[in-house]
Amino acid sequence: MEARSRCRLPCSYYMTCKCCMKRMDGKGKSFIRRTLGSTGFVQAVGTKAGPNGTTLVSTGLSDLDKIIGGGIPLGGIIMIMEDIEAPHHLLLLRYFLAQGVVHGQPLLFASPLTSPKSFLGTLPGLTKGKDSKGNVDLQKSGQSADGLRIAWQYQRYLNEQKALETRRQRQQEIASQSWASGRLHASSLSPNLSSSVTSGSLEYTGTFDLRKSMDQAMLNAVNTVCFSLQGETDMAPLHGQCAAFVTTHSRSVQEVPNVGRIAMQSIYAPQSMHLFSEWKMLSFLAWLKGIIRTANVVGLVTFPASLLKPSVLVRLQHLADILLSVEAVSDDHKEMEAMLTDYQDISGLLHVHKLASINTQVPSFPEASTYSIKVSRRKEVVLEHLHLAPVDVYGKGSGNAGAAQVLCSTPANAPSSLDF
Amino acid sequence: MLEEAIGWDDRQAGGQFILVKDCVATSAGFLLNYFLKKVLTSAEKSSTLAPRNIQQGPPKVVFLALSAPFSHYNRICKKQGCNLTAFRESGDLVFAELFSEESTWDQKKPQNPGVSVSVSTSVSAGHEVAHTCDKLVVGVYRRLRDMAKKSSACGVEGCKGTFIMIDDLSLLEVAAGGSRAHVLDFLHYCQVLSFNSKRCSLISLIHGDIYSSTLFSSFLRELEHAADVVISVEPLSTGYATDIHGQLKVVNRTISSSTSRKMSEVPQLSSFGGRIPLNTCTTYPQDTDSDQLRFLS
Repeated sequence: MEARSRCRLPCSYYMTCKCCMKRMDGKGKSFIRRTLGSTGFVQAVGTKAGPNGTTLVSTGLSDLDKIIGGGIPLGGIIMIMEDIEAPHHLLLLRYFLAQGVVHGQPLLFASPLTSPKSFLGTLPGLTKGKDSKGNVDLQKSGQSADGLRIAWQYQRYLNEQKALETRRQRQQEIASQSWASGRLHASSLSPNLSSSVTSGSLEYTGTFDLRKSMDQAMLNAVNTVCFSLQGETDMAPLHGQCAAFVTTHSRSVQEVPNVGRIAMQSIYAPQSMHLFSEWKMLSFLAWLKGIIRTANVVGLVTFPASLLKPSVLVRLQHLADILLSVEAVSDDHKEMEAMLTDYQDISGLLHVHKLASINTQVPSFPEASTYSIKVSRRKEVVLEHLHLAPVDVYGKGSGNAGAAQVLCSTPANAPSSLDF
Repeated sequence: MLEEAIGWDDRQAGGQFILVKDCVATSAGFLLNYFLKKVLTSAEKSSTLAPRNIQQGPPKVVFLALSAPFSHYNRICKKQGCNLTAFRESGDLVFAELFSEESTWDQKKPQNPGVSVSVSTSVSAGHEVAHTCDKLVVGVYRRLRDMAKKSSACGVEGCKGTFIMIDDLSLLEVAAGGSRAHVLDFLHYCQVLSFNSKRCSLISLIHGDIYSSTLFSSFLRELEHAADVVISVEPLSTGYATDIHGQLKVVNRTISSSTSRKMSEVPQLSSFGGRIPLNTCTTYPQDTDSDQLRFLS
């Protein structure tokens, strides 16, 4: 009872805050569904419980988490089909790795770059003191806006609400702080890290600033394995690295579960993979999927879709638990510009093809199949629904078919591209 | 509804081959679960829930899982009121978890001492490669055959044929190193394998869209030819719907009147099962999230 009354956090913190953790431990049993005890939920830094006994791990982008249903299920592989002309997949990859670094999760990064280690230097840094700054902004804007919107006799309610909110926030801070320190000591990370970690940084999803770079101390504290695919003539070294990485994270070995992240950039890229047969690669990925599923590991694999044979591409798509694709937009695409109100701000499009259905047979469908990728104020990546401009009925409207095809989701077996 | 279309009744003989095709947009994994549950719970009255004797009958289902671990299937079936773990313990279900087995995806080169092989002709070298690629398939088949021998030694009367389920064939192809001939051979062997003098039936999933381009379609066409019933799962042709996830198309090539297939007669193609929208219960609130699927006509 006591635990429940203390837990006033909004539901997005459910299962990650201290109070809920306590309840999970079994002190307030009456409030838990019985089935929860038998699920495979893994308590670790930066995880939360998902549907059907899965454990979710953040991608590092809160918008992307929302789109794919909370996060990547532990033991799942998220695949991103690259646009070979644009580096949008690297953006998602950076967030994925940065989130791992912030949570102190070991990383395995394989890439066709000559020095994958240097890529880790380009990870975005955490937004520091964001809470205080954000609050100031909020208060400022709040005051001006409130004056316009709210009648004076309701002002006192507003104050009350504010007081409640600040109290809540303080409580949350305290909770996360004590929880963070507890968890960090348990997982025996360097004290350096625990001191550098700010109160809000152990949230499920961090807030990153693209202009900053990742704190070097933080990066050093995390156990990273980098692997260059360039010049490799055999799968065996990568195979071995992955096997070693996964076995240290297998569910039976770890007493204190810690999530590992495997990221593979541009697998199948011609500069690294021209020597391997497609069957070898496929069986490697199938093997990887198999061992990841039973360990505390999530995987992110990107591959250039347009360079693959269609049959191999479809096989890969079937292997993925979550399948996304990114696409750049050109600056002067007249049709698209006419159809979208905020075309100037959009830097790319994200398509959602498949969502995870682990431990269930009911497929989950995304709200929309296409989202726009924006970089707001050059520091934050935002994924948004497309804002379609009102249709110009009387306009010529003849050449819009191409743009409409991109923006509207057609069923996979529709007889024509306009039939949806 | 679905059973009608398949022609599934009690007096069926073994040796049936049901092929389930799906694509990226709609997964047909639910059909395997449906069949698994159906077969396992079908003859429950006769074989009772009492602890089995030492004398074990043949398994009802042999499941070769290449795309998901046991816990995945177990969880789904549990929600539908079918405890796979119990069936596994009682021997009704033999679950081969090839998914996370290292050896399944092992593609190492044959360990031959390179210098001493001076006599090796190209034929024998090819043989060797084929052998290593096919290691998995042969291994699985051996396990099945041993099982069959054991079970026929202590015969139990009145049991139906064993079902071999494969999830899924395209991964089996990957595991076999891309040699289609081996996969086809394996399927044929499975079909002629008999437990207790009853031929095995085969239910297999395959991702049809892999073979959609004409270059690779021969494998799928051969499979479809070998199959008695082809069920294809597609996204709804009329477009997206929130509650209906797709449609099934059933092509039944067996002759419904006779139990055995006669090759001389023309397969009956008229029994198109029509389009069965498959529906999930999304009307329930999230809490009572049930994994049931309903077949509507």
